[in-house]
Amino acid sequence: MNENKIVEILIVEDTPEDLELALRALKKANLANHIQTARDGAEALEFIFCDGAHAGRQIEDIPKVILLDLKLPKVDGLEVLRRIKNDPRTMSIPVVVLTSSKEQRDLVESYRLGVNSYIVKPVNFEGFLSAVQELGMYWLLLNQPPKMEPQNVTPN
Amino acid sequence: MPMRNMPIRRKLMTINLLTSSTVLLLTCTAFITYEIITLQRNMLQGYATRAQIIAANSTAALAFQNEADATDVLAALKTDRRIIVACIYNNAGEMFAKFPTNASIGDFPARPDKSGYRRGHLEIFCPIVQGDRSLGTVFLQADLSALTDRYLAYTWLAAGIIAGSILVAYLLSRMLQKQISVPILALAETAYAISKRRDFSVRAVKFVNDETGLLTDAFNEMLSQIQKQNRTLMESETRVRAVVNSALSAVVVIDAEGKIADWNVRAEQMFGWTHAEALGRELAETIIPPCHREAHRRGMKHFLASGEGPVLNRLTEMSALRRDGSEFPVELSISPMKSGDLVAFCGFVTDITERKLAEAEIQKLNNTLEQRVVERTAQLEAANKELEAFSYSVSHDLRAPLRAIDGFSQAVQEDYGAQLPDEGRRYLQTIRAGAQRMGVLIDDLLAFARLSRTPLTNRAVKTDDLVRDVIKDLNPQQQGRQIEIQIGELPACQGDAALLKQVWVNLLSNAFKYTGNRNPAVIEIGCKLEPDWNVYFVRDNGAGFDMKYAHKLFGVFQRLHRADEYEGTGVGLAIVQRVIHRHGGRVWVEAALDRGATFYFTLKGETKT
Repeated sequence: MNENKIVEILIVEDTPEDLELALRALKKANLANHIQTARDGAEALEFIFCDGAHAGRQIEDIPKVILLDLKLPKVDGLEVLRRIKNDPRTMSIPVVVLTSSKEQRDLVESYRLGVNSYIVKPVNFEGFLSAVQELGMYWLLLNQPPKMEPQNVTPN
Repeated sequence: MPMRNMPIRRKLMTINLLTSSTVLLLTCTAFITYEIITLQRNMLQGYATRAQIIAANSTAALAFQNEADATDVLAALKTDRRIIVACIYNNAGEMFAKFPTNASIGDFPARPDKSGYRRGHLEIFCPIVQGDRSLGTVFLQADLSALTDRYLAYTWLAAGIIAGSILVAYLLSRMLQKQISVPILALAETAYAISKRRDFSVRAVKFVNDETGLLTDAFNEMLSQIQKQNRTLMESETRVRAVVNSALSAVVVIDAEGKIADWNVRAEQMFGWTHAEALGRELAETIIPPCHREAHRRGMKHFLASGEGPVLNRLTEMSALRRDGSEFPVELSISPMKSGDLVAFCGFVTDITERKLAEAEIQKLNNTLEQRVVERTAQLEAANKELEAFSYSVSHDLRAPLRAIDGFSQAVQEDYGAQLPDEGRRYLQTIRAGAQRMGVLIDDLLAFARLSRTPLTNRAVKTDDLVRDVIKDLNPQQQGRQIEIQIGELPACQGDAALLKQVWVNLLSNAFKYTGNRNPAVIEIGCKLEPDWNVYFVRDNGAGFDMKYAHKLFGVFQRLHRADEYEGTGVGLAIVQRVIHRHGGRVWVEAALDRGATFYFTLKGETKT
């Protein structure tokens, strides 16, 4: 991946089919530029907090939106969400949980941790497509992130 | 011997004799007194008459102062030898003439006086009058020997009569007193014999029908009563003894000194001492283990002094001693028994060896049970966790492949649809439909599984509002159809609103679904009130079903229609049943093939607070 490229969407998804379908859906909506993928929770955290493979990245270059699956290898989605929302530098990044789970406890816990949206992936592709496209549109084009916040709290 | 201690026979005789002699004595005395008074009066009158005759005869002599004539008149008195002296006084009260002539002047009163008995004699004074002129007074003195003779004669007579009467009375009373004394003596003898021999079957013989007879009757009656009471007492005693001996507890009675006074059969068996051996032994030495003996003696002393005892009148557990020296657990209750000044204690002792063993066994079982409950709970918790992990995993992982199947089938359709024959495109469509159908199945199944895990809230639920909301939510199902919905009175109930909503959603969406080919579809919603329960129902005029399959209706994945007739996963009614059962209610259905169905369920009415 090109480290210097501005990342607009970070997709954290371990299932390759879901990832491919999500990318296909975003591409169909013409939102496929500047997409970063992470295949598990640890990889996602490395990217967000500029660690390991992404050590050269600037943390201020926050993605416009993170699409986060919950059931992930190594570090699960709720933990990733917790880390993002507990860090002042990253807490303003909109996080959309995109998951198969309709489990009440996941839903409750996600909102408790400060998730911005919670989308249940439907089985049929049309539903999936429209969900991904709608939220991609919303967070990328309509939402105005508070630009000042990351700079204010960055110590370096 | 004082009279009251005399034998009754002598007493009767004495009373008789005393009575009769006293009466006689009084009678005789009265009679004699009367006789003597009459005699004295007659005598006084006789001599007064004689004095008057002399006075009449001597008037002339006095008038003429003729002393010789007067002496002659007086001399006529010598025919009566009882007259001792007589004289005539003149008007001046001086002696004029006297009789006998040789009598000395000292034998006469100095002057006239009143008549009367004086100095053992009768003295008569009689005035001598001529016309209305007093001439003098005549004096006569008679001796009383006649009277004395009569006194003596009367006394002898009276003595004779009294003696004779007493003799007769003695003989008579000797004979007659038997009438009274014999029955009384017989009674006395009988009483003596009974008290000596204690034979209450003896009866006194009744001789007469008077008060003595009554006494005999009463005495005999009393004997009968005593005999009856004795018999009752003995029967009761026998019965009490039988009860005491048949008691399952050992019954032990001790006196105030702690000595055994009674000991029943069970006590014999329990402690190994026979009744005869136990009586008189000290209780402490017999059945109380050495370590408790001092406490027992102290307790008894304390009770006798203060009247209170902490172990009295309640159940106490302690250990007791058998004759062979072995100890065993007993439960005992001791009650003090007071009769008059005598104090005794009655103890009921039960051998509780078996019970103690059973209690220990129960304790052991309880411990095991608790252990088992802990283990089972742990197992159950583990199973629950596994189940949760399973359903969590199903919820995530089972849907991902389905999305892939559906998504990539769609991708093929989009990207390569043009290159595929119609048949190939149709197959792809079928693959997608299958995948989507399985997605719905998984969702329903998870929803159903979640029902059991969600805790139930219990609030008042406004059924009417709930039903109208659900009908609004189900609007898509009603699009383009003619449906007549009749909503009756729907009272509020108690329950979990979210879960009850699922009930109404499932029942109403079924009603819409199975009336798909009716025009108009008629759906009736209502409630019947029963004591404690609200019976809600949803009635439709749809396809219905044959009641012989009704039992299958509420099972998970059980369907009575083919999927190409009516869509569905067979979970809806299972959800309905589970929710209603969790609320403690019942659910049932009445239906007929092609004639609609009515689903009923019961819920508790709103609790008024």
